[in-house]
Amino acid sequence: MSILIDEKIRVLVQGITGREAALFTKYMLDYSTNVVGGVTPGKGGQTIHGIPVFDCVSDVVKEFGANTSIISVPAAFAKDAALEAIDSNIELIVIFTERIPKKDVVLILDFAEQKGTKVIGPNSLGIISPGKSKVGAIGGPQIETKKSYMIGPVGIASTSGGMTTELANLLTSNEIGQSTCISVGGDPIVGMTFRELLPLFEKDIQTKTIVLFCEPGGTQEEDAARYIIEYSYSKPVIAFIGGRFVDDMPGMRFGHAGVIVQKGKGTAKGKIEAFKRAGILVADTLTQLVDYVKESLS
Amino acid sequence: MVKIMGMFVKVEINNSKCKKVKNCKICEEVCPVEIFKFENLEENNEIISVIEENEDECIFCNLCLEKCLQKAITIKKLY
Amino acid sequence: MKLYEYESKIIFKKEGIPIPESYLASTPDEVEKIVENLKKEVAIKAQILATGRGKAGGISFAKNPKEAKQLARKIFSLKIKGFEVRKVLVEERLFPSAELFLGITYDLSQKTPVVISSSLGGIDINEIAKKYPEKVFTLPVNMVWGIQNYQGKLLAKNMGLKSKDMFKAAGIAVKLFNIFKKYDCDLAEINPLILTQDGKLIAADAHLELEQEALYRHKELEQLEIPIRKDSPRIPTKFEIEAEKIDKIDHRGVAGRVVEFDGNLGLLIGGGGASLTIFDAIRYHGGKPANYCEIGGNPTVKKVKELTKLILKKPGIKGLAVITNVLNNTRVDLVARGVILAMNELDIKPSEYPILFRSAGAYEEDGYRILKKYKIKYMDRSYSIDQAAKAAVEMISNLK
Repeated sequence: MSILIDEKIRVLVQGITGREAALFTKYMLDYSTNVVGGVTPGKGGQTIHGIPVFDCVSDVVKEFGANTSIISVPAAFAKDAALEAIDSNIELIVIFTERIPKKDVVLILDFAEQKGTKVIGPNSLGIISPGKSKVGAIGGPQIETKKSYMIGPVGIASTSGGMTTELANLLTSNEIGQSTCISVGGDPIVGMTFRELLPLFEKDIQTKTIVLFCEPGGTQEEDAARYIIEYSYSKPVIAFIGGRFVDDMPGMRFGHAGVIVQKGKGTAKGKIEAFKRAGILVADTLTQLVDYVKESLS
Repeated sequence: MVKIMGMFVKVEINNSKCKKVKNCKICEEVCPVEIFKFENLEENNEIISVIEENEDECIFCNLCLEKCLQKAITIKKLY
Repeated sequence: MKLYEYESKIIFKKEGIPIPESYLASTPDEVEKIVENLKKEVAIKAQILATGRGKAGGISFAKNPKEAKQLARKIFSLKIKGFEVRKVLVEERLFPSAELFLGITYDLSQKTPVVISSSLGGIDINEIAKKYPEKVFTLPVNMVWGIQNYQGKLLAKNMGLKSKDMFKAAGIAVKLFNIFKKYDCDLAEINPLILTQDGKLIAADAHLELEQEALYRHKELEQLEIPIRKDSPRIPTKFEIEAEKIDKIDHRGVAGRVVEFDGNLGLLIGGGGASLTIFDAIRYHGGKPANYCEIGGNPTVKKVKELTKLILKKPGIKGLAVITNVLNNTRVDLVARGVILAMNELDIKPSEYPILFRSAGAYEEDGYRILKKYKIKYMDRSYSIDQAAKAAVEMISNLK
């Protein structure tokens, strides 16, 4: 088991002819992800790494039954690409593109909600279910992906793509594998947040412990903490918060677009308190994080 | 001690091979980090040279090696 | 991008939200002339990109041109939260019977715009929300539909307005949302919205913040004489300005988003969440960073080289920590090349300089080979960020 993606998904790459998308398409294929087609308007008929390119999403859905899409197009075209995927009944959309204006993101999420489409991102590095498949640039080249990720019981959700791989690698080097790792995206407004992923992890038999990588700014952590209390969440959740120093520098952005403390809101301190109230262990260092994970699994 | 670039990568062009194809420029076109410079000095006297300052920018994408019609380029890692 | 009050009012005027008669001035003499022509009592308001100007003496009321000039001189000499006052807005003075609040922003939790109204305007809405939460009315609004009249009415009612005034305020709410959507705002606020003694509803103040990411599609700003710029919550240091120039050498990757600190350990650290984690870890182990920075998105060797040089040249630097997460995209070998080239150009022997290198991921084998050749000790993926940070801090404290 895993969440969101497994070996059976049929993946479509929107913007496949772009430099980055072409590269991670190859990495996805190397990891034996079932990539069935690509879309770049105007470039239908080409092939990229043997994958056929089409002009419209509906073509790929009709012909190959694509049900998952990774979107890597320039920010100005991202709204259109996402709406097209949602309209074509894609079930899961991962948006890799960053710097999409909030208005567009809100419109995308609004339509997705109407149609029951799951959205990860924007500004997501991707999703990986080790040993099954990966969607997006997560893990990088095949050889590195295999070093960083291994099959096991820990689910990871992270606001940072880089830290998703870092945490997985940390666990892997301690011989603890992962069920599914999700880079939820570093923008202020993203599709599925910790709060929406937690119930999926709870239902997943493979996942025994959930690790969250959090950053200052936004409300994801507080929302997740509230959910855990309200629904008496049954699995252990361990959090790590990067960027505690940001609390001391209000108004300044660090790392991601969403990482900003304004008017005393979104502080790391506030998030730590919210987590602690919900009985979530918050690790002060990565070394401590590994200890907590080991303890939760024993 | 101060040497600008070229500590890690040496890119060489075999000029006599290169000159067999006129006005080719393909290496200049494909290189993502601008290592090659094409100059048309006068008629029948065009040269492709390596911009030493950019040599260490080489990312070993090997596009120039693949596309060069004369196989005139060699890239050495100096590490 | 934060707009000045006078810029926000340009947009208000264009989109039909009533504002007081107002003129922009850059000298006390100009202020005097405006008041002579206006022949009314005026408010003189400092134009700065920070809140809290009222408390700092940035707003004054004058009865005649002479008084206006005097007060203006005072305002021009102020420095409010680090900002010099270069322009003031001279407006006909409003005599309120009520000061109200109307604002729109994003609710990040509900992922939708939210409109806030209150019968208590003129002070910071966050303070009101703390003291009198029952006086603050919030209403999520669908982006596609915008504010409908019934919602405008609801907002107005919660400002304590009735009959005609209620309909007027509802209209203003609809228009404010149109601005919020049309101009890609992060924030659109009228505080205070004034109900005058003669029964007019006027936006006494105007505060718009446009989303940086959306500015590319707002060419109309140029026609409105609103120059596009970058917000900086504090004035950047020389070091930071230099770093920004380095980042602009080319478009590939990031190597130059830097914040200066006054410590002794130079940092070249992985971007995004990793930079946050690494910076925290250095501080946790008692280190004193000389800077925060990010490298990511696979920058060119040249950018890494120039950034490294800038950090190594910073006065008070005793050592350098190059720490990244396990990289998905940025190449370890390119980072290594940049760092070594920088040391070479500065005539620093890598083997003799206090440097700690921890990186892994894309092209790590090539990177490690380079580091070995130049005798730089490195940590691979079997060491955590935490261990690397600790070692870097110890490296500095062990220096004689």
